[in-house]
Amino acid sequence: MMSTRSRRWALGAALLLQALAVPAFAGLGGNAGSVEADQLKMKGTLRTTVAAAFTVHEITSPAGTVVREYLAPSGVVFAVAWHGRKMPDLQQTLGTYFNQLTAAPRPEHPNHAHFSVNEPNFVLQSSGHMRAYSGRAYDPSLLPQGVAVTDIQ
Amino acid sequence: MRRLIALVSVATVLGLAACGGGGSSDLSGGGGGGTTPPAGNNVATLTVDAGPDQNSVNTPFVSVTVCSPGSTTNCTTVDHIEVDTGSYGLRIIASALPSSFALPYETDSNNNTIVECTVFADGISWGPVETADIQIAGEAASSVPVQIIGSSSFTTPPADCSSRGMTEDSVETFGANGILGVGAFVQDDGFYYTCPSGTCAPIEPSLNEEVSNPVAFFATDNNGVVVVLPNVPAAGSTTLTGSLIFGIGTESNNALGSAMIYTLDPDTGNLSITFNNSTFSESFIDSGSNANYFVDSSIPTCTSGFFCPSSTLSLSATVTGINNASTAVSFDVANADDLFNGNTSGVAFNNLAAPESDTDSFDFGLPFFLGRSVYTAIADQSTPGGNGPYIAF
Repeated sequence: MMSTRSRRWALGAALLLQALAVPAFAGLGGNAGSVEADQLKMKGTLRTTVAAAFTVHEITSPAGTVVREYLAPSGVVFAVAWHGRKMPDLQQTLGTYFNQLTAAPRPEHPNHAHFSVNEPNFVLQSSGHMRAYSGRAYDPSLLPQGVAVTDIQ
Repeated sequence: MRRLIALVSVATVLGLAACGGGGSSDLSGGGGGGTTPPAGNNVATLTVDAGPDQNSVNTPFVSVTVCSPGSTTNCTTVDHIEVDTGSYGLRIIASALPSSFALPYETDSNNNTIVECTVFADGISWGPVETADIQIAGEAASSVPVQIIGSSSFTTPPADCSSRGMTEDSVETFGANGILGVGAFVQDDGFYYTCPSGTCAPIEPSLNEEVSNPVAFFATDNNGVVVVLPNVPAAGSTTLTGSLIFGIGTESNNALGSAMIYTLDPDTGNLSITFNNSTFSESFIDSGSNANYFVDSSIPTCTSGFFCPSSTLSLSATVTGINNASTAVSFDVANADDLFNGNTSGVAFNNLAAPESDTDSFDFGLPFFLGRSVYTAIADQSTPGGNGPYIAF
């Protein structure tokens, strides 16, 4: 589970090569190159953790908000999660799925501390309050075998 | 530093232990949440109803009067302002104000209007910061920065704002005529901008320029609030009236009494709640949440997004402050579909719950407040129970 300095250097080199070929906006549904784009956009620091079923790239912005991007063995970003004092740039983090967030129906009984979107290819759950926001989003069709939703946090 | 604050707070609670506290409380208990509304200059009426969008449940509203600074005639009263202990500052939807009513813009040193992007978990609200004198019940606050959402003069949020969620800039999308953030901090720590020549760029305003909790600006009764709401039957209630009392231990009607103090994380306002043998370290108690939100994969969820167990569950969770003060709280979870179908005009339910997505969080929302007096003390403000930020009940 531990990331190592050498692994990060190797990954960084690989990401740099891939970043040349991908659009700046990717996030959810993107690939490892989009993680690099997100890190640059957030002016954040990147930490990588490798687990059996997926790899987590964790970007921490200067303001302290943490965004985690979950990469399947195929390289696709199948989920993202965030927590921190400020809401992150969700357009960057959700990529093309952001339009599904802004077009989502309002719940029957809404409140400002919780919001969710449940669509066949896009699930988003946002919660929290000023000074402490958190959330996660994923594409159920991209979830690798053996990964539970509760692994995304 | 944080440890020092915690130690001081523990000492404060120990000093109060002689007054009672500890043990468990249930929904019928609490520090005096009664059926007789308290009276006084510091008491505003809370109304729980369906709200301006007719969709609200478990949402408390209050009326607020705003005046142009220094004026006693250029004033207007706005009803259905949501009372939210999870945010800080007064925000009003522009369309809820008379078109003839205007407040002065707050400007920076270059005379550019300061505009805010407010972020809630469910969306963003864009609008200028304006300065108002505020009256609620018999309390008055002068020259408070407030946000006017959906202003016709600032219609389009910059991409840096709109990228953080869906836009809520109307009464219909916001679900209220405005929101009164009376939580445990003064400033809202939002995203601020100026927009010279129509192009908006982020700024870092000074603390006194930020939209702020008006309670801290009152001449008296300015150290926090008490939310007092009666309990409701298990089938819910079609109407509910309570009190928003200003001040803690400042008047005969807002004494702490037997309420126990749970200090909050001075950065986040969160505390700890233990449920099902798991500790949720980023938990909160929030009048702006319309249900109790927590993680329990054994309870089915229905299409409305709330929990729908096959029969009502009686559960318990333990609230623990940063000061380690701790109390078990019992609560029920009913089938939300049955509640809504059985009481189609119901607006207040003490047994409404929903799944929490944050695996570190348990949110006691408005159902927790029913049948209780819940005190929220503002950070660094002095009270007879010690300095805020804390929650007491």
